[in-house]
Amino acid sequence: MKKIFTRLFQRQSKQQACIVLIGDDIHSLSQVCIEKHKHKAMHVYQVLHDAKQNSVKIECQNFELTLVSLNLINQAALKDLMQHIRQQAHQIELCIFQPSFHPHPPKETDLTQQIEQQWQNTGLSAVSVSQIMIKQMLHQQGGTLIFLGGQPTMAAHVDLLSQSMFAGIRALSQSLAREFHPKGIHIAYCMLPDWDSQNKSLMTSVQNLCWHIYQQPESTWSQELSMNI
Amino acid sequence: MSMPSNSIKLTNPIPCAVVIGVGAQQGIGAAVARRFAQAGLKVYVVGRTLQKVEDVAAEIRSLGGTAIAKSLDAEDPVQIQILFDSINHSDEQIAAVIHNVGGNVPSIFLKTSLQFFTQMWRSTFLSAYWVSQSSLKIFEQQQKGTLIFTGASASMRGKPFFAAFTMGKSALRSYALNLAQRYKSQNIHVAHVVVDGMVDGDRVNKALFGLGRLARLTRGTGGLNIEAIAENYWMLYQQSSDLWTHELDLRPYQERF
Repeated sequence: MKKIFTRLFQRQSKQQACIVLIGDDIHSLSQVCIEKHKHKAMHVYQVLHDAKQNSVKIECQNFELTLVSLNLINQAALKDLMQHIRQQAHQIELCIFQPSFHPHPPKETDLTQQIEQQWQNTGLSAVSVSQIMIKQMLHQQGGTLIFLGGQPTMAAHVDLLSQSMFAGIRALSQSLAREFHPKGIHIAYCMLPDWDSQNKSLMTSVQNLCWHIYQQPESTWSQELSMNI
Repeated sequence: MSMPSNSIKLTNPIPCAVVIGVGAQQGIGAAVARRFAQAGLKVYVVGRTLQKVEDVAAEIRSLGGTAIAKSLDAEDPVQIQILFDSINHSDEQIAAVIHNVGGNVPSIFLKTSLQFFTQMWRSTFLSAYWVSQSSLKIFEQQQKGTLIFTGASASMRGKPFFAAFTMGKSALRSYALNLAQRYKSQNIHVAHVVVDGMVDGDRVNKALFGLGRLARLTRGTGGLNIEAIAENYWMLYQQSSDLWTHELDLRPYQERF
């Protein structure tokens, strides 16, 4: 019901709904989103994490897509992005966060730096994005925030650190869902077998799943979903 | 009957346990140190605050045990490595390592700094990573050893106001359980203990000028007894390699769901 009122309000205030996709390998997913939501006239923001970029850099902007790069743990830059979105009369309906699935830290860095970087690119980025997005969604009295992550696997061969980072984000998602669901913000964690942006079928499935979560009525919100190949 | 994997050969070096994350005398770390010392192991009592670890070590010695106090920052890999190198080069064999670092600090999510999240992640997860890196190398050489991590309710489920703590503890749980799979074939026992409730120890009892004790007494059956928790760590250490527990949850007999 709240979503219907929000949409009615949007029409009156001439705000256009938008989807914000955040991550380090989300070009294919954003293309699928653009194709799927053309008729709904939902603008797509594709926000790429760049640790070296300390301010918002609008790479390109057209009717369907805005391509942005920024450092996700720079909260001033994220606030600037929110301001830019408001100035464009866009309202964030759905935000999807994709943490790095295949971390490739520079080889010249030592182990301590590598682990810290992995934390910053996954768990800490998730926190940083959540804080900014939830504040914005509370302000607009609604919104959906979805974290993508890997499947929890207990096995000898897995990447221990990646598994741990995903577990941390999953726990963050649970904590935020319990805190912010009663306030009208839908937060969900979606477990994927892997991330392969070249796999169009996978990207389409991810998009469909996220859209399904977004459309769920308040009486039946999911907190966690799992996708298997 | 198979021998316990961690049974000690009499002719071998002195067996010892390293308990990292010891604070108050009425805490899980101190109770575990006392339990292992009571069984005859030399215990390294390791924590951030020298006075606290010295107090715990002195108490163990007063009871007839052998204990050495060491003060270090468990988030610093260099300090951790130096500790394990010094033990490894002595006439001792590390039989068990217990990681018990990281306290539960609630916070309001939207008002919490990113620095706080990083600090909690370092204390709950990163310190465990460094401890495992140093201790597993030694266990591999020895072809045996027990590594136990202390978890919490937050290891299993994220709750409001504990986002930072639950991120680190959940990461640690995932790490510990995967380590267990990776190292079991090398006769190295890795276990994760989920302390699922309020602990009857100084951290809770002295919190908020004694209100923590009140909260503990008014919830369930008064919290988890630290000596009983320690007994479970000792049980894990004693398990035979043909039947290891990788995760153990502990809770009072009455609880609120």
